[in-house]
Amino acid sequence: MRVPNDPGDVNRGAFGELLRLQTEFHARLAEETIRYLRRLQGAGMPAAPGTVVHPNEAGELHASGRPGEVVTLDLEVENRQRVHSMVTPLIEPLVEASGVTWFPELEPAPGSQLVPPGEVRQLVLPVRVPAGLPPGTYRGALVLQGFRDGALPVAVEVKRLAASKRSSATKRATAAKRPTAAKHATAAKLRSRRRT
Amino acid sequence: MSPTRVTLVDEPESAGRDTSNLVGSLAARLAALHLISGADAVGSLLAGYCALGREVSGTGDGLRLRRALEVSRCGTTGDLIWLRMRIGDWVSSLPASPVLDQLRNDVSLLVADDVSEALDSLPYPPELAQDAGPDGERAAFVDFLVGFYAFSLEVVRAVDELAAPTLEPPGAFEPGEEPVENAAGTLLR
Repeated sequence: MRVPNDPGDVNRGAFGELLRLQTEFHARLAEETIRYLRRLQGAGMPAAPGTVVHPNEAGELHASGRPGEVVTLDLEVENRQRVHSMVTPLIEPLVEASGVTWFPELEPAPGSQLVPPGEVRQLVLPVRVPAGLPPGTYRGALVLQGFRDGALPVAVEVKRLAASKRSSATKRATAAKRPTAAKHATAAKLRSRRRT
Repeated sequence: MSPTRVTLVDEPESAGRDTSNLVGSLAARLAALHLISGADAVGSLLAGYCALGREVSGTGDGLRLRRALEVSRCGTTGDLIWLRMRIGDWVSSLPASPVLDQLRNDVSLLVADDVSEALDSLPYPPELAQDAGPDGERAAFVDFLVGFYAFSLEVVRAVDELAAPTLEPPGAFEPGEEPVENAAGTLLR
């Protein structure tokens, strides 16, 4: 079989295509082989013993408060392992049934705690409820970072502001938006002057 | 009402976390370094940080930081470098080191009271011909710990600075989807 190399040859296209396919095949083969070897390498990596979190039966963190307040989530952590365990609580976004999503802030941030074996530590997690957050029950999860199965359900009930606080807040808001009686009077005077 | 309690236990069907297992895990990690290339070791650590970043991005603070970095100049430039130098391809092809577990296990070893007994059961590694660095100073453990602490703080400060211009205030909330008015439009008639 004649394999032409001349640029103007009509069969060059087919030969070039064959070469391209062969090159692609070898490149892909090498890539897949390396990926397979990496997976094997991963399976042979030294194991790092980890930790699993078991919540007790009533395993939901619950708190309630009004916008502007700081509510607390109380959690006890018991370390039943034979060595110290580092505990880092993080809270996930909380969602209300109407779809409002709240990115809660732990204030001050609790940081991490090193819990000795056989001991129980209490974590008090303060969460600031932002002013203006619509009332409702916000649900989400608290995770202990890095632990397997570590999510704990969280429910924060945001109550309506008290009537006096709400009315004063409403008054402040309307005062900022609407003209006062004095402003109304001045505007009326200006209108009457324009007419005359 | 009693507070919610969680218990921290060992993974089922594993040897569990005790001092001798943690010493064994550290020794195995050190031994593995002699069997793999430096690029693989570094890439595997980077893959571990990436896995941790994806995990933390599910939390409120993690998501806030991620969003700020994504829309900042640093996010765009970082992506460009990551893609152009094919760092992403390299890191994605490597198994992720469980960096957080490893760190915590090593920290637990430092406060365990039976490390000496556990170390006695290990074979001594071979001595090296050169017992000091090029500048003649021995690297002490406390040098490492203080240096690593300073390095980590610098990372935190740098990332905070990079995210600061686009970081949303903490405790923000987003309204839900507005109900769709006149859903039955002309197309549905």
